[in-house]
Amino acid sequence: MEERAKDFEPDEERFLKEFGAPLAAARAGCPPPETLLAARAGVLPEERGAGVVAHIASCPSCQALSEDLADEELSKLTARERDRIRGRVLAEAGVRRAAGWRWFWRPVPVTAMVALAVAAGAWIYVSRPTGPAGRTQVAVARLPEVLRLEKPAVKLPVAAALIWRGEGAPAQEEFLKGFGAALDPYRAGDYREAATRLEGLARKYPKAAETHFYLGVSRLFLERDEEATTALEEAKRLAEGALAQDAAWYLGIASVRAGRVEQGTAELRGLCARAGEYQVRACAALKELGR
Amino acid sequence: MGEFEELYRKHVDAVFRYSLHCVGRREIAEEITGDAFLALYRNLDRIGEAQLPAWLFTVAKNRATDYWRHCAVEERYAGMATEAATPDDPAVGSWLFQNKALKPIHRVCLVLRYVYGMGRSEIAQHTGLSDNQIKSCLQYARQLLRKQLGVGSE
Repeated sequence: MEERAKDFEPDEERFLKEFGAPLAAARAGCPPPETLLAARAGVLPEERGAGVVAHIASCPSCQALSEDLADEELSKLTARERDRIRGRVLAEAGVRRAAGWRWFWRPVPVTAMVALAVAAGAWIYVSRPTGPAGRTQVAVARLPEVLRLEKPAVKLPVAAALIWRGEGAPAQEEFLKGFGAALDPYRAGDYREAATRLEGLARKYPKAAETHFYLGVSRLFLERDEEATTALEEAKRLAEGALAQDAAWYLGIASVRAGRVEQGTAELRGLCARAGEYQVRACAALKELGR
Repeated sequence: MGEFEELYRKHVDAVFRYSLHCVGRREIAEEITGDAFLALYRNLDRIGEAQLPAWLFTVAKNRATDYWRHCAVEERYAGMATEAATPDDPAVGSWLFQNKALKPIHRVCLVLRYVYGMGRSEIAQHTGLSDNQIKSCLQYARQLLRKQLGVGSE
């Protein structure tokens, strides 16, 4: 048996003395339960998946257990889970909605004042001499609606799927502690503090893609677009899977905002050409950019 | 918003079940399901109802694939045997996996508890069962095993 639970009752202790060894032997060398399910679903990485599938094919106990685990009775969504998922989705989506509605319901005089201010601001930008400093503002003014900046959710707790490379467990623990602390201000919307903490962490652990990613996003919220581009380029270089797509999307936004429209559209073209969460939005953004 | 709520109600059970079958842990399946519906919310004006629930399954599958790619569990079991081991006591092995009186729910609880050494709260994370249900399943399985294999400690 693997590491034992600490809450065995006396009868369970007796049972384990009688049957613990043969029960464990019946599963010796077998993959853990969640791996069996993942192999059935075809979501294990190829190099591991093939081994697990071969094992299941030759192991009656794994065949039985994987069928048991997929049993409908054990796969039902509880009312509590349903509410929790819904609450999370609406909370994360709600930031954007609230911002949109607030403008919509403003009284007309306020809207008029804002329109006047925007027009004045636009006139000031247009009147400014062109150059590197002005470039960003012109790009921001032309930013397609679909590229509007949205705060990406923190993905770390989702799956404990931190991308981590080449360090031992103690360093990983230490990193996770620092990363968690850096994300607290990010979650709270204090991007200045988040960026400061993430910058320190990125220097110490340069191989962790997530650090660069959230640093890039924090800088975007601070309108430090050039610096955001640098961090997001690094995140994209280091990341794999969904995080690589996240990084490419925000790099696209950062590049366009920083006036590097060619670089931005290259990122968007990559996303538009590939099935995934950003495909539809990336294609729409390219259309709006006339690319 | 009403449209999203309707789609959520219609598809959330299936997406969760699929996610759970991909990752085997309820709290992660919950997060993946949330991710899929958040993506749907953000793309609501571009995704036709005819594309659902397949579109949601694709998002969930991508997330699950990503999870496994980086999961530490994967590392723990790197290099594991690819051939089934022969049980020391074939009687217990065959009893465990061929006994008709043992329902999937009992067998899963028994294996997770006494083979993988999980605490009851961890079993609850895998199965969604309450603590009392888990206790009751375990007690039933223990009694059955003792009775049928002729050992009586209870």
